[in-house]
Amino acid sequence: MSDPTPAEPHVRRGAGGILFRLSFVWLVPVLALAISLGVAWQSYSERGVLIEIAFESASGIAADRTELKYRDVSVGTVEDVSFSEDLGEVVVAVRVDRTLAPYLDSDAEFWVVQPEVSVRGISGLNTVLSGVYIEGSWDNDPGEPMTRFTGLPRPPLASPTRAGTALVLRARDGNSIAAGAPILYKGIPVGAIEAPQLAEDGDGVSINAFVEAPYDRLLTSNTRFWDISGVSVSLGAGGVSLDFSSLASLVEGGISFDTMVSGGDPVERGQSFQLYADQPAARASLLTDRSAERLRVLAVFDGSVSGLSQGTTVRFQGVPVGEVTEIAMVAEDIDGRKVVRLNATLALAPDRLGLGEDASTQEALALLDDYVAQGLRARLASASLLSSQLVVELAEFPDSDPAWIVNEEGRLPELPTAESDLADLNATAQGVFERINALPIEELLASAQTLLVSANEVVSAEETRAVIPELTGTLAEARTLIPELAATLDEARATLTEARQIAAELREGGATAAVNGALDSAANAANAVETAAGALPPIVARLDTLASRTEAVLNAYSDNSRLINSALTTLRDISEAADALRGLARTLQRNPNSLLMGR
Amino acid sequence: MSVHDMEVAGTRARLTTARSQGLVACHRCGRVHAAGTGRCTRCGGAIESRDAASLQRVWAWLLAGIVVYIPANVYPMLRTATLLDRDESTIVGGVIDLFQHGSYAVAAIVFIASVVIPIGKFLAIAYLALGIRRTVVMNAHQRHRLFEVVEFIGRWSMIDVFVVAILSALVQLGSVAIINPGIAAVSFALSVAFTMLSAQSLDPRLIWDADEEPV
Repeated sequence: MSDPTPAEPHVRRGAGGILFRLSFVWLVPVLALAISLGVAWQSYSERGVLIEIAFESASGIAADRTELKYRDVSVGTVEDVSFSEDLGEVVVAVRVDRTLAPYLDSDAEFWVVQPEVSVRGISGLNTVLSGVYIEGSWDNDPGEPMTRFTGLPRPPLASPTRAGTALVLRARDGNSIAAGAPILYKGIPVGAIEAPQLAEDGDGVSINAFVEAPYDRLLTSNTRFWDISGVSVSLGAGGVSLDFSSLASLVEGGISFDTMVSGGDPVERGQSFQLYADQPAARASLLTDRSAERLRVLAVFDGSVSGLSQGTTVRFQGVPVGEVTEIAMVAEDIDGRKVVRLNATLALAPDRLGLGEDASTQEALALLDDYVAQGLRARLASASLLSSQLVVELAEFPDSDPAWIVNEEGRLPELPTAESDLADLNATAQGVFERINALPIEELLASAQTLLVSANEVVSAEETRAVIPELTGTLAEARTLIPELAATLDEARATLTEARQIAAELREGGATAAVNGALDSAANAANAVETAAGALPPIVARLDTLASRTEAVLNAYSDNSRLINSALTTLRDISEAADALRGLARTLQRNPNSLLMGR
Repeated sequence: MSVHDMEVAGTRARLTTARSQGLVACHRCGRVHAAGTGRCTRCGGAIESRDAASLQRVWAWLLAGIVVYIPANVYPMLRTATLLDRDESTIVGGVIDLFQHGSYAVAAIVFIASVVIPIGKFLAIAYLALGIRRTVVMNAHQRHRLFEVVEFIGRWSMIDVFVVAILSALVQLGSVAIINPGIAAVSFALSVAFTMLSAQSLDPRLIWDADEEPV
């Protein structure tokens, strides 16, 4: 077996040139490279903008996990959590969606959303499972993009993404108001407040508030806000009433508002409002605390103005039209004598004087000038009969000497004043009451009544008439006397009632005019009492005779029967009544005026 | 010829190759033809004594495999979203996580399957391809065995991709838990496929040619 000759391999030479010998497979790595680079470039170009947000603390924020949300849509992720150079803040680096970067300008706000349990309920519950997230808020105007922001410690009330109106409330203190307290309108929560902050001048606090749309349409410049925090207990004719708005307002405090007068201007964002202590104060403020310009006038009073203070009401026809804003002592020379006078500056609201809402102070001054020509004067008056509180009253005295408003350059217009004789009124009125109370009228009436009852018993007894005929004449006399006595007592009682009414009137009466009337009728009453008292002595004399005669009759029948006993008691009563009547008569006769004047 | 003989022969004397005997085997069905035959008489496949473009394709596929292996490691492999958490993990990140949680065995498996084997394959193929033109430490026989190991192990590299595929298919529980494959899963699969193609493109006969006398 011979070895087979190996076949010659058929050799094909490759085509010339390096390009032709390249395999098409090379396309694959080129393509892979191109695609990889493409993907990488795309990732890089779509990579968001890195912003830094500084928080005081970063509770629950974790790199690569915590999201940045805008309107509850995730727009970025935290990449890094680090500290600022002085370790004072936590700097959270967030990669934000590139398309949103232009909107992240100076008005952007960031805060951490955490689960929160408060009196009003639970918020941020979704973050219990998903962990905290950072919420961002910015308006829809692209601005100068920023990369460094400061995070807010709490969610802001007025963020650009919330529809509504932000306001500033001014209050005297922030005692009962906690951050997040609700703003209620007719009991419905329509907004909330932020924590009260001390005002820049240290005088009072300012509170940022936010009223949600559409309720912010209820706000006008005439809106008044008041505090409804806590519990109010009031004792009145209807019993004790306990009042609180809601549990939330009880614990956190709350604010309510109402637009009590129509026709106000629409509010602007950030407009400032006063926060009143309660609803009556808010209502009252509508009268005195108008935002419109006030007319300031001067009134100079002589004599003591104890009871006059800043804030004292100025009344015109009984309606509050302004208040005293300033009291100053001014030394003046009058006829060579040094006299101290008191300058009270009155601030009057033009629209309360009967002018329209837009009335200027000039118009008000002109009007006041006319009034003064008709006799209008400023004078001090008692706010109430029993307190020393004063009010400034603009009252008309048509018979007074002509006067006018002194309007000198550089000074406030000066209103003419009238004398007010308030000095002793309080003492006098009080004295009247004391004396009326001290009169022994009650005892007198009581013993007179006992007398009548006993007398009736004696008279109506069968034995009296049957056994003692002699007594009949005496009794007949007594019978005629009794109605007479009764009439007298009735008269005394009516007088007493009248005196009581006067006393009540005096207690209630607020105005000087009423006091004068009351004093007049008190004088009338005194006269009536005097007349009644004048009628008393004859009655007493007759009672005396009656008593002695009866006694004589009874002594004749010295029978110690029950009848005698009761008759004796009756007689004693009659004697006592006579004594009491005599005493009263003596008091009244001696000095009837003492009842009124106490002197 | 036993393996032992081959080894001995490989070290001692020049091998007798098919080409030197004027023979050429069909690459597909293995039928031996006389040199010069263009097509296999049995299966009709093209018959070449040596694939001239083999090395080019090896390098091309290898390069493609390496290129796509980079995003496979940079981008997340798995996107896991549960009720509480959302997580994206890369291959190495996943290994570190597993290691930190104490699952050393699983960490080792994932690390070997996803990192050691692919990189080892790149190195092995590069070594084999280089060894065709240059003199290298391993002799032809060892290199052939290495080639066979690379070919065998190639398909197992897909284990990672299968895990991702199965998890993604199974865990779709709405908002409670969802697992989705990331970009890395695709690139990793491509990388494995490219390296397999690369290994396949290598004509193992070229390994032996270096030992042969020049034609």
